[in-house]
Amino acid sequence: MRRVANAPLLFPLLAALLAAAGASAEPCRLDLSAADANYGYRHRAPPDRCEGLYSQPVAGEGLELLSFIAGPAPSDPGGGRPLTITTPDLRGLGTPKVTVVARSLPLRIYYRMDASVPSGGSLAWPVGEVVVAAGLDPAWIGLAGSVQTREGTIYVPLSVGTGPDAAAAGTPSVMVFRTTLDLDSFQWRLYGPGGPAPAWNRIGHPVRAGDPVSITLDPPAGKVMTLDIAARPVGQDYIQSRFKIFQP
Amino acid sequence: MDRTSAAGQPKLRAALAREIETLAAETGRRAVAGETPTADIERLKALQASLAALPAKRTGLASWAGLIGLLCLIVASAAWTVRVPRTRVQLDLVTASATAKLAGDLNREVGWRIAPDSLRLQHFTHLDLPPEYGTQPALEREGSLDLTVQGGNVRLRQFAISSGALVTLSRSDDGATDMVVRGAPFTCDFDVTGSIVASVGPGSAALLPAQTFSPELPPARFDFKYDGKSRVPAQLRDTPLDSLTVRDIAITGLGFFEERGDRSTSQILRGTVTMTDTGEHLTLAPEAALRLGNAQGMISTLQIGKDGVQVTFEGTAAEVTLGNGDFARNLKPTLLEWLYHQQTIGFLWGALSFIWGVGWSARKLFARGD
Repeated sequence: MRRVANAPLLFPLLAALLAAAGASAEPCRLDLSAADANYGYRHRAPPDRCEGLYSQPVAGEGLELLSFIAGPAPSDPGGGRPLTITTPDLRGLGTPKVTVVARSLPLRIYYRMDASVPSGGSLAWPVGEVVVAAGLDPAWIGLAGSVQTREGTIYVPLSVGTGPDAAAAGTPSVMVFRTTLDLDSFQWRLYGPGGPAPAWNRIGHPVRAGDPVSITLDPPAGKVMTLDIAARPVGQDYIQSRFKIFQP
Repeated sequence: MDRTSAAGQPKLRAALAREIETLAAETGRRAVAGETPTADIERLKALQASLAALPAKRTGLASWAGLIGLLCLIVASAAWTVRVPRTRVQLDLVTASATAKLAGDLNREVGWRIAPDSLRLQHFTHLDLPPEYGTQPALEREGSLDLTVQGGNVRLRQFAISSGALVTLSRSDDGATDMVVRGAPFTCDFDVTGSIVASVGPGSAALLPAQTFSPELPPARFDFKYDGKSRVPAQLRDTPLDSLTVRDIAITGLGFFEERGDRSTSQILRGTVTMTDTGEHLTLAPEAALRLGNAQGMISTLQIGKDGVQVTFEGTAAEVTLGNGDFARNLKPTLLEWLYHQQTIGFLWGALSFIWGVGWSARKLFARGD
């Protein structure tokens, strides 16, 4: 009888252990120098991840994808509770794990988190441990998931919340980009294989260096799509990036 | 002296010594007593002369002296002839061709301008064209593309070559440059504006529909991928309008030879090689046969332009030779040269030890007992 009475307590514990075991750390970036002992970039557990602030900025890319999220952006759940990052079910792509990278949206805040989460799984991200404790707002953090396939890197939308529920199907996804240059124009277009070339969409205002640029996408489900991004720095030629994205 | 008499020498030496000792005591006693022992003194001199005339006593010390002398000579000979396992080398040269094996991933964003009528990509495993081209069945089975552009420009925007790739950069006599990659994945992206005529595969068998990309709109993006598994290397051929500079490339091999005709010849045009360990500085003539064995280090600057490929390298090599066949000169220093240039104090003490050791050994070996 006593065993039966304790059973309800064991189930949440077991579930928490399984959830913690679901994530595994990506190899920590060796080119990042930890900013300090407490909140510096290093391996942390549980859940298994590399997270923290770093002091040496790596060479900036011309155009960076910082966030790809379906549903609401991260916000501090308060009370020391973790945020749950949920990855989409990618059985269609045949990839068991999703690489999750979190980075700071504002320029000059050198924060990063790397983790590997099973396809269709979740990561209980203890935002109070580093992000909030270091004085950052979770809303400043971008999250992007990617998988490696024969076609190269494919980005997939993540969902973030206080529970394990994934964003409802059909929820538009928001991608956030950033450049280190002032831009005259920022354009994008999304297309599938063999489809007609769509017209370029355009942000209607100049973009200042470091300002995050958000675009909302509603790609068809179950197809690998190509997203072309073209940004024109003031007085310079276009810089472009091409991303493959997949919405399950 | 025969063997029997040689065997009796210790006894004779002992008897003489005892006799000298006894006689000296007796002579001293007589001298104290006021006598003048002239005869005893003469006999003492004769006995001492006899003792001195005996061959020097050979002891274990002589064996040690021989051993130390031999050791000194062996060490000196080895230092004179044996070369250091690896030596530091600096290169600053211009070559028509350079081949390097990458020790790390090489990923660069660039803006290299290329003559619009000269871009050719061959043997890639995947071509990703702008959506304006739609689906091109020819691309499913062919990874080569020729591009000719009118009224626009072509730029290499980005390239990424994975660690372990063997990369050859060369410039041909007509001013075109080739980038050949094998053994590891290689991707590159081109941005193109203007009127593009493109053909897939060798020749112009599969001509793609002509497309025009206005310079006011984002340029057409062409992506090329090579998986590194094919035995046929991926090749990018173009005519540069300006130079491309790439810095800080970690490598594990470097060469400047290329097969031209039926023989392999150095493609070096000019430059210098400095043997950092010895300070030796050599000027390289055209086609200087410089060979680096198992070179490891950093190409601090690699510049590809109309004049050729400029390489600035600092690192180490297991072999450094200059010249061909019987005229090849090994530039790698001997241990003695290395000690002389790099360990001055050690070399000084080593030389002093050698001189002392040889001198001491010679003295002990050849000196007669007195």
